[in-house]
Amino acid sequence: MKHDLLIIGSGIAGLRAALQAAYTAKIDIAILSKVQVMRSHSVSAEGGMSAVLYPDKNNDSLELHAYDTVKGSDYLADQDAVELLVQMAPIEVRFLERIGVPWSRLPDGRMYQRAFGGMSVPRTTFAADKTGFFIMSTLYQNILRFDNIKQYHEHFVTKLIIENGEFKGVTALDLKTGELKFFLAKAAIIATGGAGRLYRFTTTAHSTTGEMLGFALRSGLALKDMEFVQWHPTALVPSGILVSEAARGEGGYLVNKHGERFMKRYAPQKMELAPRDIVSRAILTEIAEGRGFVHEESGMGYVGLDLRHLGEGVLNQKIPFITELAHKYVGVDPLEELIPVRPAVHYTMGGIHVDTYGRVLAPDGSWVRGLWAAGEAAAVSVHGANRLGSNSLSECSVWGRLTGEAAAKYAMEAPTPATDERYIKAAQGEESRIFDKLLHKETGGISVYELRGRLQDAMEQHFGPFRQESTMKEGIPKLLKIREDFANVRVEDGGRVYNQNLKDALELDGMIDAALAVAYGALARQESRGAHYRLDYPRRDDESWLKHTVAFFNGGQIQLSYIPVRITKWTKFEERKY
Amino acid sequence: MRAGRGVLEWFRRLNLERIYFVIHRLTGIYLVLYIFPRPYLVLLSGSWEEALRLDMTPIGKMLAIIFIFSILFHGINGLRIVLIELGLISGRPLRHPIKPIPALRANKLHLTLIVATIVLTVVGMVVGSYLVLYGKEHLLVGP
Amino acid sequence: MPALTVKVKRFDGKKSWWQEYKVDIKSRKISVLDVLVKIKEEQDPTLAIRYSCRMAICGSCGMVINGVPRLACQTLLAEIKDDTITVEPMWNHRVIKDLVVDTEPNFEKLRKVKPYIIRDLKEIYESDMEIGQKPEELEKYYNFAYCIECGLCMAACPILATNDRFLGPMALNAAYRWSADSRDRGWEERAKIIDAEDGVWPCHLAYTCSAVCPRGVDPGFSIQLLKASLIRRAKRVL
Repeated sequence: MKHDLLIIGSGIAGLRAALQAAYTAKIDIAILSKVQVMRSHSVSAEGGMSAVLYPDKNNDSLELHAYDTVKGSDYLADQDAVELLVQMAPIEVRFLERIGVPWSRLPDGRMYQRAFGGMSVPRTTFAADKTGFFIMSTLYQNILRFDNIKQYHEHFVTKLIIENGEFKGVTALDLKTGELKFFLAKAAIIATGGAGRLYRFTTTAHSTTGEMLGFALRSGLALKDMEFVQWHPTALVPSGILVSEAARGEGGYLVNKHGERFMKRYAPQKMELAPRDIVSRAILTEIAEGRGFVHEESGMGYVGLDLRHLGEGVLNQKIPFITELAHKYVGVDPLEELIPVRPAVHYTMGGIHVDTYGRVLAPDGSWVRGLWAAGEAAAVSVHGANRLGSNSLSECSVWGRLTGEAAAKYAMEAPTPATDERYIKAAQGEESRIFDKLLHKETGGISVYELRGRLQDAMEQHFGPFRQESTMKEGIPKLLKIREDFANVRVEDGGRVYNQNLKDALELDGMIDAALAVAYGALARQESRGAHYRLDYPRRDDESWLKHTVAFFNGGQIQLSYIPVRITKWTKFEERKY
Repeated sequence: MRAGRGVLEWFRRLNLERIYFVIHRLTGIYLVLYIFPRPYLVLLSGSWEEALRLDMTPIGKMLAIIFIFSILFHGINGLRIVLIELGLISGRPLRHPIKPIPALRANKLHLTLIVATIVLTVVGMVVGSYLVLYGKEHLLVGP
Repeated sequence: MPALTVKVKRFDGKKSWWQEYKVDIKSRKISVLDVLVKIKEEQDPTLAIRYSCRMAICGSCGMVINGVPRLACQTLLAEIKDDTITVEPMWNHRVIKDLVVDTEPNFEKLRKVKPYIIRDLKEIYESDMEIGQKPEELEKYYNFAYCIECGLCMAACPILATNDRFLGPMALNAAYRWSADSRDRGWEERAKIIDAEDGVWPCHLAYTCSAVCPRGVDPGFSIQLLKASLIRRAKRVL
């Protein structure tokens, strides 16, 4: 199949890019998503989108937002990218308003903004507590307006085809029919999201597996800052369902089993609204030191989220979804009882190495022509070592727009890709790899799900929020063994139509490579910065480690190199005290 | 090409309104089947009185009672539907609820109409059946 | 805890059959989706189910559980009294495999009603203005914007069972939601689309759509409001 522009992944970044590309140019756009287009994990985003909308009313400024973001990232963010983010975020919020997102409003018609973790001024625009859902729903319905956007639901991309530093196409498995399709295109935007499911206890959907990051490594691309994995402090026990930061933003408290608001010992100024990594580590420390509750069935420790003092009005108007989740999934009434919460993996700050405008860079820093990446899948790096809440929706929308426009302009000018023999051979090779080798396995062999469980447990045990050299050194051989054992994996479902077993196996293949990038990066970085916290190197080391980790495959093994952080204004690296 | 069970789908008893919907459809069909043949019945029987004699038979009376139920239910429910479709008694939608609840209990006016339909139908049925079964001949036959 | 029996209606492209699985569970606070995924991972990897978010917001896992169209992730075992669960794919849809159905027709119908702000396109894409909206204006359509496009309403509608050209509650609800948005100027256009033989009129108020909606959207109500607006020839939707 030939298209002008491929958008891989249909979250907020992907759909925003599609909209922008479709409006900018009359080119043929295809959205490929491994789930149905409107079901991407972006729908679970709850808190909001941060932007400096009304600077005079709030005493806010672009510079303040940028400073908050840079400080929150523990100074690892590329400051020129952050400046671009804060500049374009309000433009994006207004654009989303014009296409129909039902932002929550003040009585005078302006958009309501709330306080959020790490933000010095309330600048998070929200739509009740389902902001991500409303934005996704609106974006999805808006792409129905354009006839030049074709949606390929449930097409699982298996390989990126890149030749001579230029993007050529992808092969994708059509789940419905079981065929492997070959997509030839002039340009592509990768927006496949993060890799939460590398770990056991995560807030992400079953589909957030990050295998595209692994496939990118295999195609010779580079991943940046993969060791920075954010744990969100409040996730329901035992399902891992997210309880938005908005609960704390509206005034909720975190209490340990003695009823104490323990955050005063870790972040006396901001208390519960300190950045996520600080709050997560605080909660885990409380649990480790015996001041947490213990969940009977799963044995997990947790602390309580106290919303009782907020009152019914606030609960029903501002955070109704959280109230519903508490009732449904834990059987708790937030007006009367504490909600059990514990940190879970939530966001991957790392991702495909791109430059400030979303262009994908190879390990040597050159642009892979025709390829962009946006959203959580990319690491521009705007979030550095730790992401502030509500900055991700802004990032997705801003880079969705930037890459969509740039890719559309590129596709307009680029020549139609020739159906070269080499690409067909590459695609056919892929087809045989998948179907012959994976499907027709003899009996015996490991179940996909068992191997995946081992991967998740290994990551949780050895590369969790508190890391140290000895445990990480034990973890890497485990991951390498899993890599080896993958060759013996058995796909039991032999059918062609909707073979989820095969898809899960292909996902696992990519996941293992992505996990290795996280592991090696974490072991190598001998400091603590943001979300990467090491018990053996608890201090931040700006002299040796103010740089990004770039991971890539060299002869089948992961190799790391380092590139400097781009600094513009904020040269004084303060300690992150809140 | 239909993907499903077709007409059998109507008969799922998922909510109260659905039951009304099914009865409305069934009574509608029954009314058509009962009323349309009547002129032909008169023609076949030769005279109005002859035709009405058929109505006096036990089967005739049963069919007539079902007819009364049908016309009452279909009519009153139909009025209810018209009022709703004109938007006259709808009220405002519920503010996003914590637990999803059926539309029926969401709107008091709606609920009242549902109840009213069945109550009026039952009352009318009682009166009508009485007349059919025990009413004087001449009430139905005419002078 | 006693073992749970799960009866699943399977389909492999040619024949369909009921298959029984026995599962041991530790607590009833898990969802039917958790049980199905457990079966898939531990007992039978050939079972095909659509699922993603597991928190009733993506709309993938729509199916019929014990005779009622529900989202699998939202149906907790605690709600089901006995130890047997019967699961079948959504009604009124063509089955692709096991519990996965073809939802393309739903999306096509949604596209037909133009579910986006109809207004000067240049103004939307090229200006930087903020249109603004009062809280009362937001309230008017807000509840209807919660639709996650799961298709359960389309499965429950009796009209769709016999007439699959009917737009259905999902599309009609979207038509209302966009027409009632104060920022939209497209009611006239949409009115023409839905004032058709297979538009709004086939609806005969069975209201099962609202009864099964997992997000409490009440599409039945929005359809009646659309009808009222058409009958009264309202300039703005009611």
